[in-house]
Amino acid sequence: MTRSIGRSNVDHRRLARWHLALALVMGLWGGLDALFLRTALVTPTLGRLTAETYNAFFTTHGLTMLFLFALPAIWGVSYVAVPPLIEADDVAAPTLGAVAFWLQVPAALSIRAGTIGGILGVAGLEPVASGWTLYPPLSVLSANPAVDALLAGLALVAVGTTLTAWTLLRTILREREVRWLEVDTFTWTVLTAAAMSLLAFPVLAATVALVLADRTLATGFLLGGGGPQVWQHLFWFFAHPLVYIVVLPPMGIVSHVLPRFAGRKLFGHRSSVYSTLAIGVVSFTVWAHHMFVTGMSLPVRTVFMLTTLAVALPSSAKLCTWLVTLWGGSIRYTAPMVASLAAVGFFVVGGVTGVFLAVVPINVRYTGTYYVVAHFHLLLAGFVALALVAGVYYWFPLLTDRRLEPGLARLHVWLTVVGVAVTFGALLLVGLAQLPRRVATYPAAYAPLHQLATVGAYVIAAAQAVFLANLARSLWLGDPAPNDPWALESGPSHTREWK
Amino acid sequence: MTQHPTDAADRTDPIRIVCLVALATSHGLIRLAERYLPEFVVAIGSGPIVAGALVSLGLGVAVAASRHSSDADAGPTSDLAPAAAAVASVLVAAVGLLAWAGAPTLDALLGTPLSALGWLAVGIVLLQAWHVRGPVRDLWPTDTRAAAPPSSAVPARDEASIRRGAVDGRRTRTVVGALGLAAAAVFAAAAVASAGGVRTGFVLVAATGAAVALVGAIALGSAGERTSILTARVLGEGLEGSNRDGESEARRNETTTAAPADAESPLGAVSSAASRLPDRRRWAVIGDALVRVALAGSWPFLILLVVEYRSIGLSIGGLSLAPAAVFGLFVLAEAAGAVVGAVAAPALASRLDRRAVLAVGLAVVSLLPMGLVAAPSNAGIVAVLFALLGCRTAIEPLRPTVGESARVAPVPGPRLPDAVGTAVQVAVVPAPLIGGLLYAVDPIFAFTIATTVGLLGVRELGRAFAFGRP
Ligand SMILES: [Cu+2]
Repeated sequence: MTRSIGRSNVDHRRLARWHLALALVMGLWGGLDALFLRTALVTPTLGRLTAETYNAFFTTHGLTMLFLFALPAIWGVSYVAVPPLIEADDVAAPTLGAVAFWLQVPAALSIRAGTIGGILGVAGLEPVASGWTLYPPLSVLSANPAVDALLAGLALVAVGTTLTAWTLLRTILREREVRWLEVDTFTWTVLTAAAMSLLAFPVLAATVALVLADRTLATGFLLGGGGPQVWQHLFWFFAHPLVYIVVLPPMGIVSHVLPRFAGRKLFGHRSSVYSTLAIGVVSFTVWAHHMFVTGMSLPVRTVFMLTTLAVALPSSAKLCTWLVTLWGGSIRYTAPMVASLAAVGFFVVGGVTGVFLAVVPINVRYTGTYYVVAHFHLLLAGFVALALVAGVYYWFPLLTDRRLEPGLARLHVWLTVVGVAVTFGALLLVGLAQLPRRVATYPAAYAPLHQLATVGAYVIAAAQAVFLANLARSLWLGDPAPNDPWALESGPSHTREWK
Repeated sequence: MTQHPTDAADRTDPIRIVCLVALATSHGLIRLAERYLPEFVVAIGSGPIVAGALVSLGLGVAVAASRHSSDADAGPTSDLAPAAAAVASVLVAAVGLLAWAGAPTLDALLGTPLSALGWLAVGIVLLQAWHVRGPVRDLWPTDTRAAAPPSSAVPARDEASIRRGAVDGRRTRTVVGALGLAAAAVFAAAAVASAGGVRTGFVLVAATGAAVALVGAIALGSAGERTSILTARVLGEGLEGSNRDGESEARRNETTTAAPADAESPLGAVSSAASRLPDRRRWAVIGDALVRVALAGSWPFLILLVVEYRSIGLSIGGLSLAPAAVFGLFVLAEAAGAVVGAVAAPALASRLDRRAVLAVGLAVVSLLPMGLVAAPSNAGIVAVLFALLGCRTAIEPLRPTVGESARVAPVPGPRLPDAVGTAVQVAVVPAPLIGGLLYAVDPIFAFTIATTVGLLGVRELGRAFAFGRP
């Protein structure tokens, strides 16, 4: 049923493969940026690099990883798994889905225009170096045409993501063949993330339009007295929900994979669904926690601190369902399971560091330091990326009808886990020492910690090489996947997607 | 995972391939870091004496540790967890490389009073875990180091297959080791060139080595208990292999027949073991040992010679490489020479007079330090000299101090007693320190002495071969 051809020649599996292929390519590119950063930080001085180059690398790394790796990867995993999970024939509007995807390709080229121009030696075009947050006045006043290309690319991302979210939402609402009570937790997270995208990405489009207007028409929306703060409010009203759009489906993957290899049913299905919805709503009310040092009044800051702390509650509920599910289970350490378990571990560390960051006085002290870098990478690289890895491994047979070599898959996961732990553990220590982030130089005493972080980053890179080798091997050898690839037929948790 | 895969499936086991690639690469990077260490020592403000002392410290720790662990090998518990020991040694080596990378500022971070040189010493001690207990400790080059105990975790086979396996295994270990060294040499040259100096370049090599070693440790660990056997087989080591093929067999014989030696002092044991050797055998061993001392006393300072003293740079087209980067290319030439030597070794040994091959080979190795001093300042010529140095792998199986089986050795005789082997290793230990002292006096002086000592060794060897006498 799921493997039959849909109404158009674009089916959900093809959409999934496109998105995941784009995510893979852009993830490698963004990872390369990170490797350059980490290599530059091996020594405390700049060496041959300019500070501008360094700034460009962390800017493109952030933009690429969030918009061109995490989002497509999440939509890819959603496309492959959601239709079979809700017993839909296919996605609701495959052509719209395809258009939305193909918008991401010019978007990617446009966002990376600065890098491409720099490599090809196009005069005047150089990588954007203003940070992924594009704070004015820096972003408005920059003479670099790559900034305009970047803004246009972000607008395309906003349009494409909105269309993708719409496609997935309609699929779940219209094509669903199972009752609402039977809808699984992963689909609920995709539904929530899609709904959030419909609200958040138009805001991104509007904010991007403001900067573009300021740059080309000299409208001055964002340059006056309160202009930069207006931008920050608009940007973070979009960008904090973006974080949860990126975090919720991985939570759903973990909730899906964990019980299957623990020989259990997910404990607290309802609480899991409610916490998903709660996170979806509350995450629109916390954006100003990114602005505790922009001169907001204390009462306002306190309110945002409390709403931010409130997000911790549904998140902890999720953690409880995972831990109780694991309790007493007979665990099979397959690659998706190891990745999920590690993701839960990183979720705890990343979450706890985040709770401290929500507290205004602590935030004021640490917001400009590596502590923040460590916190959000523990969540994004440690939790989101590893959960996505778990999802890709778990559903790979559904995606390609092939199987991956399980030993290499486990090795990839273990290398990634150790690499992430070493890198961001070291950066957490650097952050606790309050070293400022986004600076290419640092006091020489911290060189050993930065070197340790670099070693971890290289291990992460080697891990992805192992993944690529496994992928190539699987596509080359064409090992067909068995019907019930994870031997779940006799297990207690339902296996709708493998029927 | 409990099933036992066939040998064919074994060879293509992707995990094992990852293990091998990671370990061979870290082998190369560790060796390159060691080669660059003296230059780094100079870059942070010390001199050749300190560099030589550090290298000697490493050799001394390795000898002590290998004696200790070979004693432990005799016990029944030693093979309890060879995989765990392999993983641990790789992890310790990774920490050692991190200590090297961070040496200049670890004191400032941790509040320790060790100084940069102290941390370099810590790193060198930790790295001996790699050389003494590491899973790829038998990869070429082994002759620049004190000897490590042979791995004994492999069941013995019949003698013919041991010998065949030993020859194949040696060649494989040389080629794999040289490939790892070559890859690392290219990386080091690029790192030093792009970082614009040896300080950052050395840190990059060490940090990358630590990362690759960590990858190797995880891959070893994820392959579980199969690995020690798996890597051993790919490296042709499964058949009593080490660079002293069959030495453990000798040790076994010795422990059963030469037990009374225990009563003597170590020095007495050496002299009585040596006096029991036939004269020719003793001269051959002394001669070869002298060449080893000469090489150990000069090779740490090759980098200082070509980078600091002679400043041999290279410019091709618009690209000009600093001497410190060019040194990486010289090591690449040496690795290429090693492959050529290893491939040519069986042909040389079977077609020509082994004694002549050995004597000429050792003479060439001994003359190379002088050659490097006297050669014109041309990177191409120096690279050829380095390649010749690498070609010493051709004579490696014939060398009297490696305890080769009687049929292959040019000087027939019983297996080299353990005490004599240890004495040779101990004699090599102070060579780098003395070399550093001499180099500090005058580089030409140091390299002349090295060549002289080497040639004295060749003369002893000639005595053993009794050239010109009936
Ligand atoms: Cu936020």
